[in-house]
Amino acid sequence: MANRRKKKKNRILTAAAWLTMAALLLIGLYELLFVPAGTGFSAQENRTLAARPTFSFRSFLNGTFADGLETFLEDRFPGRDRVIDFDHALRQVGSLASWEDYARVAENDVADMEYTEDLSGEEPELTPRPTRTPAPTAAPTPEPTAEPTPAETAGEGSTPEPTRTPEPTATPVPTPTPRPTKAPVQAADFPAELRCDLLDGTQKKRAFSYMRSKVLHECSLFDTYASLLPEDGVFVMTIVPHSIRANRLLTFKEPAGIVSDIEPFIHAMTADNVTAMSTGVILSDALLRGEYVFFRTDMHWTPYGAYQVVAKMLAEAGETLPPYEAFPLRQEHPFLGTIYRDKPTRQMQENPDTLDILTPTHPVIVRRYTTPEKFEEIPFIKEDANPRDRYTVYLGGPKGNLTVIEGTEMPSVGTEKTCLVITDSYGLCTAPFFAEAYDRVMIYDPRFYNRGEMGSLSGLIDQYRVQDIYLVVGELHAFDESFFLQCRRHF
Amino acid sequence: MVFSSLTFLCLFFPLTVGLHYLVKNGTARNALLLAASLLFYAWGEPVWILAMLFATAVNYVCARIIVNTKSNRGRKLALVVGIVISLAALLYFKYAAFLVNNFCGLAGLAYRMTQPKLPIGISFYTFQIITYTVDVYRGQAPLQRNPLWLLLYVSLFPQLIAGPIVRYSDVAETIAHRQVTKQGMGEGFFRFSLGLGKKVLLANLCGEVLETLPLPAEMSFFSGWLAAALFLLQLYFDFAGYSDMAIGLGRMLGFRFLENFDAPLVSRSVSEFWRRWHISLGTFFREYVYIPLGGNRVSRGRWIFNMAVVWGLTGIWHGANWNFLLWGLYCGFLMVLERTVLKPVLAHTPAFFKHLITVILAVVGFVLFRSESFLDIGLQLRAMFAPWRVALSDPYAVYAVKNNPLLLGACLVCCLPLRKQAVAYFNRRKAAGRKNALRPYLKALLALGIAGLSVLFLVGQSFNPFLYFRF
Repeated sequence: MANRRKKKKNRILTAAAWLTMAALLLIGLYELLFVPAGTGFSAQENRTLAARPTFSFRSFLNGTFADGLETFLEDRFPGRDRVIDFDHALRQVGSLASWEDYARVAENDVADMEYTEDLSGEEPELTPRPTRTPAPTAAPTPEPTAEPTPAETAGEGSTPEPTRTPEPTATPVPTPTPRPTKAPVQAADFPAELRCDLLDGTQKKRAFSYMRSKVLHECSLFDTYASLLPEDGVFVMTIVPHSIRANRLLTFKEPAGIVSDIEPFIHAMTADNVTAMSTGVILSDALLRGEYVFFRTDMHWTPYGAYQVVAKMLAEAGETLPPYEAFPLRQEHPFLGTIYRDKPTRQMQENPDTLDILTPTHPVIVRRYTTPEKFEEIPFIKEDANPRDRYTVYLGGPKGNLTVIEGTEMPSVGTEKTCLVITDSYGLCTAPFFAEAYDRVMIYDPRFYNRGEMGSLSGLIDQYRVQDIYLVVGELHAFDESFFLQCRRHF
Repeated sequence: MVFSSLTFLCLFFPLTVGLHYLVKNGTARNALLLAASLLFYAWGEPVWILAMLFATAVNYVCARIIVNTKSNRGRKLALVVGIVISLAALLYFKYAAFLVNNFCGLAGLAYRMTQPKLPIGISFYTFQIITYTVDVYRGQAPLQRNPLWLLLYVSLFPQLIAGPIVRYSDVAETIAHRQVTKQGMGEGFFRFSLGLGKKVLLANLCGEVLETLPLPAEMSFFSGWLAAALFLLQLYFDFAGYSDMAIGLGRMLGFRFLENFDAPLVSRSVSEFWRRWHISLGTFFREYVYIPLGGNRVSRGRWIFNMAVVWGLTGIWHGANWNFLLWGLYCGFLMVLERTVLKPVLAHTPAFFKHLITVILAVVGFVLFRSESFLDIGLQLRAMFAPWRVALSDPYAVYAVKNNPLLLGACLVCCLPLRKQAVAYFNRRKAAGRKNALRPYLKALLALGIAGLSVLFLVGQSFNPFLYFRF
């Protein structure tokens, strides 16, 4: 009897062993034999999935076959997206961390990124500003003087804003207006740590900051891109805060505003046709009024917030935008974004966001280029966008070498102008607004651009006769290790 | 190839174990296992198989000479040649750059040697092959006349790359004649699943949490201790998990490997901790270094010297760096203290405090083990022991704890000798005449659940290194 029980016990465990091994082998063989050999794409992870490696003696010897096979098996595991969802959900089980804990870590992450900069005090030499040829209106770079000009250091709130003669409103053939020369300022007149601060009436709290030397290094990049533009072209840039930091402003008892010396610094250190604007400062009043310009559950700004900033940026090029209400709009509610996805809490679940989905006021066609000749047409609004990241309904998310938006009939808005938008995911919801001011909008995300396939970006700027360049980038990417480095490499 | 890769789990594991089970002929089984083991080792870095073949060939010849030579001098010479050549390869690949660069640094020379790429598992198979030659010399193991079967012992894939270090005398009989039973399959699979779970569900997740904590220069008091404790847990579950998988796989293939971990974190003294942690390495150093040096049956001074040698070697075995040597000497120093000046004090210390002190000492020890420089060691120890010099807490540590209470709880529970306690519980029930009808179902469910969950986690995890690979 005891022997029989022991046998039964063995049978059950042995059956479990065989069952598991058979299941694992079936998965392995299925992947090897039935999964297409080519690369795939994961919308959820927004990346290309590995292709099946080809066996050769050489690839076996140098280990690339082994690595490739492992990556292939991982990437093409049956139901991978669901498995990752499950994995993610399981990791959240039992979590006691609140949204505030997450926000504090996110805040420190940015601080860490900034403070790992070289603090030796040595600054890179300022690259000579490129001079455009012909440049009848461009004033020569002035000799730096020791004292900053008040006009450059004062501005909106306590934040200096660039002083510039307003450009004329857009006309089909814009007449070049003499551009005022920026007042000479030295980099050392600015603090070593450039900050964007939130004011609560009694004290400053840092929203984000970068080391001056790092920012100064990138100013030459902005100048170089700006030098490619026609004489009346402008390079306008803004850095968009992470919504977590922007929303913190609303929790202050006596909110007072936002100040930043990052953009004034860039503005002072770059060529005359480069303008740097602070998204935080532009949206400061809206934030204080509690307007819905940043999501609560998603890291991005809302399309309404983007509208207000793009309107200011376009004004630099002499363009105006129709009212927000003029854009065809529908709303998705509830919308739970990337912050919720990474750190779901009841608090967020009970206060979901609303996603405005806008399209340009005129019919447009969107092309995503893989090479200068090869493209696919994609919808402006991708209705079947990843449900875990609905913000990517705009143009299907940040991907592809180059995305070009044109009117179905050209010229569509009559400006006959092309603009280049250098951006990360924050630029997605600006597309309807830029498309309202330019006949052609080229959207370039350096993280996904392949110079080998597309050629140099300067070549494309020439080829498409780009009139203006806009840089819209989230604070996390702005001065990280790779974003602007890629912009340099792709130039 | 590693056990926690999909290539292993979805292809190599079921095919090898399944075919091995189906083949009934002993010679064919060995041939299959040898081919599988060589493929396992060659996967990814085939060139290093030559180093293993060379070490095996040298020791095969030396062992034959030992057996066939009558003169004591000749036998000794063959033994020394076998050991020296085996260790020379280890010395070159693992320590040459460290020694040369330190020497050049001291001598003020500009020359720096590039670190050669380390063949996977060289520290483990070198020691295994040495045990063969020494055991044959001592007459404790039979001569293996078939070089292929000796190669099978060295390259046996379950324990090839991260132990446990199996002595030839322990498996010699099993290589020649072994039985693959249904019971072995079931029990082995259960053990393998437990190991996979320890590695994937505990060690990897601890590693992920550890990665989110600040660097030593920015550590607070809380994150300093948390990082040290998490590293100990990660290392323990990583290595104990691998050992469990090796033992389980061995069981499925008809081998019985000795235990390598025995719940070391419940120890009440540092000596006990080391009797429970990486048992096979401790046994190797005791049998082949400590006892030949005279062990503890010598004068006190000589005994302290022996301890320093053994623990210095234990430390440096883990890696060619000063921090490993420091860590080894730290362990040896604690043991000497424990057996000398602290002995009367510890005899009257309550068990709880002894346990607490042992865990704290282990946690501190692994700070030395983990840090890549003395500066990092100093910074982390400052955070841990000088809270007035650093912040008490930081958002990363708070978030790590609040976001992972289940993981931390599971780690603490799994540090206990649960398997032993469960077996004892069921045996008590059996002795009392009560049925354990649910036991096989529970075991099967547990094994299936852990294995399934681990595979699912593996798909979504990119963080999957075996820490003991680099040793």
